[in-house]
Amino acid sequence: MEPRKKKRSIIADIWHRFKKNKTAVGGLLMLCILLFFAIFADFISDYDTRAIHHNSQNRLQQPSMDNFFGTDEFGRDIFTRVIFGMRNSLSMALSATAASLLIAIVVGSIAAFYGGLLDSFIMRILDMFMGLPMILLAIAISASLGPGGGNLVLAMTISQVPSFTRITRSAILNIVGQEYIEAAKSYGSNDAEIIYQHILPNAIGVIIVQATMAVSTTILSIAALSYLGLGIAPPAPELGSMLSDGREFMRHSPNMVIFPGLTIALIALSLNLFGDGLRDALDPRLKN
Amino acid sequence: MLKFILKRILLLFPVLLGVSFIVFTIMSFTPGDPATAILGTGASAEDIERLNRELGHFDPFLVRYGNYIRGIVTELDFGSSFRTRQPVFDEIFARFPTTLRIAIGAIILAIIIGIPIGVVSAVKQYSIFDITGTVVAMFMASVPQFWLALMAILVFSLHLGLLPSTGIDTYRHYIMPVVTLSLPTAANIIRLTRTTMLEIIRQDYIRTARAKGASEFNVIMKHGFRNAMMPVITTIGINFGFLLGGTVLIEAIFAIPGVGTLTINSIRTMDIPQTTASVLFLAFIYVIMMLVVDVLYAYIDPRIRSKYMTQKKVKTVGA
Repeated sequence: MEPRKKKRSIIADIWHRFKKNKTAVGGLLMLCILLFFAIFADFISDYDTRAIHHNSQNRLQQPSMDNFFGTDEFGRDIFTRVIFGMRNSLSMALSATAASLLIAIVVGSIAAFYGGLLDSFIMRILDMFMGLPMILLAIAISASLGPGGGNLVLAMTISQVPSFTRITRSAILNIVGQEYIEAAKSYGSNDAEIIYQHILPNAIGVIIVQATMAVSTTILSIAALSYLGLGIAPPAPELGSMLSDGREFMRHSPNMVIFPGLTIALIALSLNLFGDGLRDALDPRLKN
Repeated sequence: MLKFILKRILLLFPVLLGVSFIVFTIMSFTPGDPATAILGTGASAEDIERLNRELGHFDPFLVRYGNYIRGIVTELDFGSSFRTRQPVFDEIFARFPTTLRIAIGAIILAIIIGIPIGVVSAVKQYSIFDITGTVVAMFMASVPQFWLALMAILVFSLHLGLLPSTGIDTYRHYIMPVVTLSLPTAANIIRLTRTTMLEIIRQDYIRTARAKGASEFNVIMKHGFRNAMMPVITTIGINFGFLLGGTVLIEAIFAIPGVGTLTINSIRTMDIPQTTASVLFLAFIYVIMMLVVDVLYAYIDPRIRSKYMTQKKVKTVGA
């Protein structure tokens, strides 16, 4: 019972500090609203009739009560496409970030904990990956694998692993040097126990903050790759590909590019605000 | 200092070799074969078979990679484009100046915007200027660059008719690409300069400088800003990488004939040698930029240099 009670108070403590930061709470609120639309998209609008069904009588309409954001060149409702596109982008970004985080935690903790040759070997390989700008690596991977949602997630995962691993490694290195790790070693804990019980719980804060920020950059990268035609196959809606479709009609139907872009920006902004607030709340020393 | 630079340059080679291996590996997953790409699907099966054999398509992966590297090292031969049949670097070099002008223009603009706003925001913390600056920076860091570019086209080309939306003939063509490319980087620089400056102006030596009677401007610029330069330079270096990646998109949107559009076009036409070389080339520029940042770092801050030296010494003693 004892350690559990303590853990709860830490979370309450973090929440207490987080609450005071108004912009961060605003970010969280915005994020919840966007998530609401993405999760309950099926209840809000109908995918088959409004998101992918062509309706030539209803082309390029301006926003109205029936079509909040207007319609596109095939008469599809832009609002419906935006919320379903948001769902697609968010689920791709979340799965890519989760996957790369998992790999990074395993590789990073092995490198930091064992050090020596293994560590330098892993780090040299990462250095090579870091020689490629992330978006370029993602473009190269999804170009070679071909367009498609799964390939895009794979490309984003691989391109994020190097920087993530670096961050987890340095977060863990800070902890490996602490005295309580030595104490744990001295009373005979094995390596796995030390990593899972003593190191990871202490490093997880930094890692979670990085992950929040990473979801935001991943959303932007996924939109960019989809804009270039490397995303999920049409007619499935995706925010980035909606922008490239809308470009042609931009002069007379600017709503085709304004709303999807604004949605991407709002997702990224709310994640950044939330991540910033979380960082300050997790580590009060960083706040001046 | 010279030794430090030489050492860093020598370290470049394994990294570049590694990068080339990664890119070559990724590209080898592309479906299809080179002969079909060169001759087109109309060619006879024997011709395709023969050309594939000539090009070494059936060799094991490592042999192909070895040949690729040998070609680069011995003859600077990066292969020929499937589409134009010309050496791939002919096109890259022809297009590179445009990309470089845009990227350098953007990074300079980002520094000009970012550093002053960051410094003033920190000095006047919680003022209206600071709050506006932080919010705008936050927004800029979250907006997709290519969307910003589309919006700029919408407003300045389609509605106001002030600036051309595609091509790169006059200096007016550069304005929108450079500005849209620089804004996210500027936002990063603002945020980092502000945080670093906030930390530094609370240091004891700043109080000492004030106590000595130095003017406020001198305190901030000479004692504060100089010390804040280090992390700022690092982000500028890292951001240059994002910028290079960003040019790919920005060039695609403004239809600028640079290395970025070349990369995208060669991806679309499955031109593997051209894609590999373009990606390698951008990575090469990025790695060089990182080297420059490292050297600048050591040049500006003697502490780094001495740390680097003592670390080496300690290691040899320990071994």
